[in-house]
Amino acid sequence: MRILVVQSGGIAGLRSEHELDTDVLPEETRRSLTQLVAGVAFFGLSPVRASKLPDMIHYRVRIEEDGRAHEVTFDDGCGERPLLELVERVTELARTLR
Amino acid sequence: MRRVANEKDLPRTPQLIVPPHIFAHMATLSDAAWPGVADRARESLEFATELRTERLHMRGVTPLTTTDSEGRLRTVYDAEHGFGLPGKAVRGEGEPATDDVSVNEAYDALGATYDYFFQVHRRDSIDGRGLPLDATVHYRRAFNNAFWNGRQMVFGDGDGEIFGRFTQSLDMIGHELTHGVTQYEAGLDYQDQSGALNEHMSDVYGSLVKQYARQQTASKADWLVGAGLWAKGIRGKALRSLKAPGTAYDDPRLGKDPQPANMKDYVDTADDNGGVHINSGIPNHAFYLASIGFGGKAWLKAGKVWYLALTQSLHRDADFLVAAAATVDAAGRLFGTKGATVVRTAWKKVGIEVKSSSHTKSGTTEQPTGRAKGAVNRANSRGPERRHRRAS
Repeated sequence: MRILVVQSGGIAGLRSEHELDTDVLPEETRRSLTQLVAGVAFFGLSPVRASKLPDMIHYRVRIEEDGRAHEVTFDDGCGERPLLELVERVTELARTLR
Repeated sequence: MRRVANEKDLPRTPQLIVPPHIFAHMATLSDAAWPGVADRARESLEFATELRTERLHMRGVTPLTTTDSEGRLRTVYDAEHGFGLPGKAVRGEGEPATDDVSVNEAYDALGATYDYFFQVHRRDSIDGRGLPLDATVHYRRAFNNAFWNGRQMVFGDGDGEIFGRFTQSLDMIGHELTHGVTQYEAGLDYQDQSGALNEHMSDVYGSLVKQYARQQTASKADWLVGAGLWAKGIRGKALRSLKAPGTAYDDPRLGKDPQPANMKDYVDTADDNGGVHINSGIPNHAFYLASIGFGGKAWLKAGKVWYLALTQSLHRDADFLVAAAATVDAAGRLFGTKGATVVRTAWKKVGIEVKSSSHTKSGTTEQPTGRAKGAVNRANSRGPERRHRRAS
């Protein structure tokens, strides 16, 4: 599974990208990440949601797995806690693997 | 109490203005010498207490305002690196400092922002009606942001690579709380030019909160927003500069500050809600130029002009040209023809022309019929490619 997280906005208006190939992760880490993706039913999520609140970080998350791909955009004001937890975990792992 | 500069700055609902210590003194007076005075003073004090208690539940009632910081009602919470808001209450109004620097910085900055709006614009908190100021620190892990979520402030600790903790910048906290003021006033739609104006207003009053706290003149102020937020090693002095947009940072990891200072450099992009953090550089610079043009302390003239426009003229889909006309008009109302000329000249220098017309103290004469180079014809746009490089 490949996961791409693109962040933009926030108070500084900065943009950053984090990409993660779960194949390179240890078995236990890969399993927990897979569970997070399954937990939010990622491939069934509507593609766009936005709070329109100021200074929010905007996220574009794209996941490719088994020949299928899905992309979702949202921001910190949307109240999508499971998605935010997924973003935080992917970002953290991507930083570790740099 | 400080006197207001102009009656147009007065709150729209009546306020009680006798300080409580005077009522307290009156309550001790002899009934023989001053029949009924002591009883009425005690009733007033009781009424004041009831009013302050009820204000949290009543829309349309302006709270009792008696001193320059009377209405402050701050609570700082700790999210303990989780997602839940507001989190655990760790410091309430009037409580002593804690061992947590983020908590204390947030508490102090909320107070400084409240004081600015109350003492300069006679505005009682974010909504003008004494809204309690809540803030949560330690939100999530290594969270690189701070924001106003429509109800409260939220601060991350930063990742230590790009940002440090977000509570350390007074102007940035003033910036965020001003988003709340805008929400209750013009309600500027957070997209394209109206969104850039929303950002602009927050940068203006964030900077003025800091200047007021330091009692600096326009010529002495640094005009930076977010100074000190960058982590060690980042090549930059702040997130934005009103004095010199486009010069706040230049770092291999972040790229260069992309803010334009003139409409000819307007950036047309789909990112960042239409470049709201980029194109705000244009009205930001106009405000700086107007402040320098007026001279002295920026909150006394330019700050009041912009506040009048924000609270009485601008609407949710206002664009730069509308904002320029509104501020020229507000300057004419507050400071006459000379004031209008200062503001009109400032906008002209950033490529936005408002047609000249006569001003009176009581009338509105400006119409948004000027020109904003680049606002309609985006031929000068540099496009989305003028974005930052990867931040990590």
